[in-house]
Amino acid sequence: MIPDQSETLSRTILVLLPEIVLALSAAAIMVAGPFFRRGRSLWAGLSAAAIGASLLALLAVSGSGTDAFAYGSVALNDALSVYGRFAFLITGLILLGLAHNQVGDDRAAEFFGALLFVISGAMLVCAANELIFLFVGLELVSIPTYLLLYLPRRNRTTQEATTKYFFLSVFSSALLLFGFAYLYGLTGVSNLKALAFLMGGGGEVITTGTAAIGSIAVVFVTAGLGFRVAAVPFHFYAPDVYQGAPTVITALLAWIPKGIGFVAMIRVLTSVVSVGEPMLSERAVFLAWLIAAATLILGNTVALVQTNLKRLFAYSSIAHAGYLMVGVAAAFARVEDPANLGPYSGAEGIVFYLAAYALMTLGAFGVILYLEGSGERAETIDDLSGLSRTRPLLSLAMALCLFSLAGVPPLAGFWGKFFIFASAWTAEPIQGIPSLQLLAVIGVINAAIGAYYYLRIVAAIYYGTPARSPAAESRSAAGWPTAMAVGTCAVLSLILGLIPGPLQSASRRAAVAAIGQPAPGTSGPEGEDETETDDVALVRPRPVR
Amino acid sequence: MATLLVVTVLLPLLGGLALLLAPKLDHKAARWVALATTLATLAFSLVLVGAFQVGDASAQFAFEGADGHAGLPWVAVGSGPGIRFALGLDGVALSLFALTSLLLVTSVFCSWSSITERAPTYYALLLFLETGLLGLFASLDVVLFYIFFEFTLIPLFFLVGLYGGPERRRASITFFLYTLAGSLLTLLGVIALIVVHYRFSTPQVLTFSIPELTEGLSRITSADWAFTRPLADSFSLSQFLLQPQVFIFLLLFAGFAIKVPLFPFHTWLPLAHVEAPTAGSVLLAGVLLKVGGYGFLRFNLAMTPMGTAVLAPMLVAISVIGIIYGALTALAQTDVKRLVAYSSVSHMGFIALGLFSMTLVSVDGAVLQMINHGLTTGALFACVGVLYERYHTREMDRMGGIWKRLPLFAFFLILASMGSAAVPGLNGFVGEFPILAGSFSRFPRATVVAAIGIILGAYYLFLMLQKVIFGPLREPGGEGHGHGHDDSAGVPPVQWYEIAGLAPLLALIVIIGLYPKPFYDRITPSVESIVARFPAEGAGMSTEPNQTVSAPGEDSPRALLARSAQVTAP
Repeated sequence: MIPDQSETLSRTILVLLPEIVLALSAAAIMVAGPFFRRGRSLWAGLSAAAIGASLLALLAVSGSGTDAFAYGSVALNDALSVYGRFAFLITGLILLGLAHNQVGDDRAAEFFGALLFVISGAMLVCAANELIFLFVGLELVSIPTYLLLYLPRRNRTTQEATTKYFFLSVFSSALLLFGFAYLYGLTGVSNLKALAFLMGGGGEVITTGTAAIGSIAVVFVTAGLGFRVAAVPFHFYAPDVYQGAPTVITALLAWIPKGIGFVAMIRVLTSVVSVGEPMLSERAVFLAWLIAAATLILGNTVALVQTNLKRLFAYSSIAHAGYLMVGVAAAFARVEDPANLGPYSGAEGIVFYLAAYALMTLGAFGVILYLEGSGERAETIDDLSGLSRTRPLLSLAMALCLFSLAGVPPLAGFWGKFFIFASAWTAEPIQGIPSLQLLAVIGVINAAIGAYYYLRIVAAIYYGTPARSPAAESRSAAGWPTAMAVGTCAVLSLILGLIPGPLQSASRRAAVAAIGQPAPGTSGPEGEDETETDDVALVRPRPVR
Repeated sequence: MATLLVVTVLLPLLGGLALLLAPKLDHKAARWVALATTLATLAFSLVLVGAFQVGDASAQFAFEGADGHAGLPWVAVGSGPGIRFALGLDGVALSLFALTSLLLVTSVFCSWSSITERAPTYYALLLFLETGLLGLFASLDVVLFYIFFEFTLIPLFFLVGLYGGPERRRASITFFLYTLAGSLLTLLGVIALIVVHYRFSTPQVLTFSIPELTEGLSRITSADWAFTRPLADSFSLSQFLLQPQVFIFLLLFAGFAIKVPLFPFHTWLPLAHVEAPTAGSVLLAGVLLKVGGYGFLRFNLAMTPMGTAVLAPMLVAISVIGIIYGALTALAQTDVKRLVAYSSVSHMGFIALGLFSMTLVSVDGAVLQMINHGLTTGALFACVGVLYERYHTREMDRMGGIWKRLPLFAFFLILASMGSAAVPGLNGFVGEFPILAGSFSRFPRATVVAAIGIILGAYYLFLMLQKVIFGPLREPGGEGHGHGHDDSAGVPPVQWYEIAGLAPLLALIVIIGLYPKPFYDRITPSVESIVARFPAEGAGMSTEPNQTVSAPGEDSPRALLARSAQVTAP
């Protein structure tokens, strides 16, 4: 049975309900902003309500499967999509908690509206099943980010950071589009599931002649997304922008672009390439291998010498992009049978790691924000010296996040590293390129190096003596939403470390769904036989050769 | 009993949380809570020792899940049993488990009067550390083992860093990073074991269970895995190193060798031991070093026996270097604590020698020696703590004739030192003798050199006793360069809690020395099951395994070991 156009459309709109709710609220808030001069708490509260409504909408639609429409619909509601959108909504709430007092009353409506747009864009990326739609999602994140960078604080450093980010982001979008064009040229479709199907057993698109075109596509898409995840050699903007941006936006930049970058990689690269011809997937593995090794080594070693906290976290986020690229390299490795992923898969590791990374990074930035919010300096490591004596709970939260970043059990970060390294180790060796096991060894050595700079912060917090002791009454509290956001991050890092089971099985389902190929033209995943090539023709325009 | 084991492991964690969450305890209340928790844990672990079936090599007290695998499912991976919360004890683990719970009581007593600031946090950290260590020895799942293994780093990091000596910050960071670097490589080794087992076992099972992995890996017949060439037969060094068993051995080795620590990896140890508070040193030397030995036995020897066999000559060599180097360095120290720390390097070298000689007698001795070393070095560090409490220095040159001031303390120190120096009749002897006897059958030259280490050990320990205990009374501090003038008001006699902390250790030093049979009875069957998997005739091993039976000796383990050594005969 081939679903008809109107049914596909109505189903797609239903599936996209959470994003629609969010984007409409964002638009309403931005429009209402100039007319109602109210305090920022109103807009923050409205945004929280919008995220809550979107969360409800997501829960409501999460049951409706889209397997039957996979080859025609622009958005999917598979496990990866639900997982990613849920993660972005939760982290959106956390970000909102961190941001609630970071902007003046006069610009609050625009600020929170832009934040909601960013979140809805990130959710679109998770759901996207179409090259163009994916691009729309990515841009829906980028464009409001320019606003966000400049809105809270208007000074020269912010200006510089915004300009830098703007130009590089536009440049990366161009690279990405260039790569997309090649993908489209190769297969003649822009639907991602169809693309994967054609690359795999269904199309025989990749031959010795077209493998070069495929490689160009992979290289450019990786480059375009590499900017967003701040992977070497596309990382160089990160330290400057992170340091120049207002702290809450640094937190956002450290998480949202990285999150969507890797989800997009799973959607458009690994799920498409790994099921296809070994020729292409081997080259892709090698590319990811090189990027991962360079990112890991550069991120971790340069972070060692940083003293500015935001700069340090910039390099730390580059290093984490390296671990995630190890997962991408493993995910690129050839999958014989999409229905059987083997014990570990790279995509599963990436998805798990992303959730853990979001919590620990946002938590660490939240602590910095909390200190700034209560009028203390928190720019360098030395500023945190002796924090445990004045603020024991906040220090504990910071320590939990930092140990999680360092990958020490029993915290969430450990499991992320475990699944990623396990997937790299499981991958079959490929002739002619260095093995992924070597990459895993490079990864763990870097993890040990990385632990040093996190420990330096912990040591400063717990062993240092406070440089000066401001009178206790002069310190103000930073507001409960910030405190709650930090607490949530720290507690969840610990809980997910102790009980990783649910998140792990959710990541597993997401990885299976991302790579899974519903049989074309049938109504469900149980239609296993892929022989109905006549039906494929209906969703597949003539390929351009 | 399975429930009791879980309760025993988690009890300190609960005690620690209670200490952290309880509002504003002063150090007096905190130490009583800690003492009650550790005593209860010790009582439970003694019940487990009592309930242990002697002669059974397999893990006991394991909880049987509904699906036939040990433990409760924790993280589902693939379609197999997944990572499970599985606890159980075999003879080796039981001994170290009981040792841990005993030494924790000692460490609480060691901190009784010295820790007054931030005491609840301190005791909570000690108790968290106890849960980590107990869980580690009781784990039947590799990932669970690894989690407990690394978790111990966090409490120790803070114990050393917050409550240690003047260099504590550097010491805690060095210690943490050193151990983390090694144990991350061990993690890869563990992953590699799981993957190898998954790939080559028929039918393919993804298991994380230590007994199942040990069993399954020994049955893999794939040529790559089952036949490991020694270095002499390989074409090149890299080809030798890339053989699966050798490669995985080295990955696993990285973490455990740093923990033990073997000779080139020991540099973190003196710093951490000296800077740690007394209880930290007791636990570091007493239990944490044993974690390395336990890991060697449980993973390296049991799961990659071929790799161990071909690497054995090199491993024995660095063990012996460690023995001599540690002893010589200890000889050169003037700081008592530093001396004891380096003596640990030397003694742990004996344990490694025993393990890597791969004979039943020597491995058996090594396991018992792990317990012995925990007792003697724990007691020695506790004694150093007693000394430091009173004089605030550990320089041997500034003190002397302490016997006259603290006769009971002198007795404790002499007994612990003699136990450490392997004087016959005390526990060091019954541990080190089988190690040397067993190793001699395979590596006679190395063993002869190692035996010099025992002599050196006696030398530096008695030198220390001579300076500290005997001679005219010289007490540091004040103007008193001591001509026997009596100001004993400044130096309190040995307190009840110091006696309570040290007495059980010293009693066990004597008991094991006089009658080690009950200990060997529990250790040997578990060791046998591991030794039985060793390659019967490794290349480069000139002697028949059953020659180990002819090891001479007049101590009681001989009869026992001679009986059971037949297992090594193929």
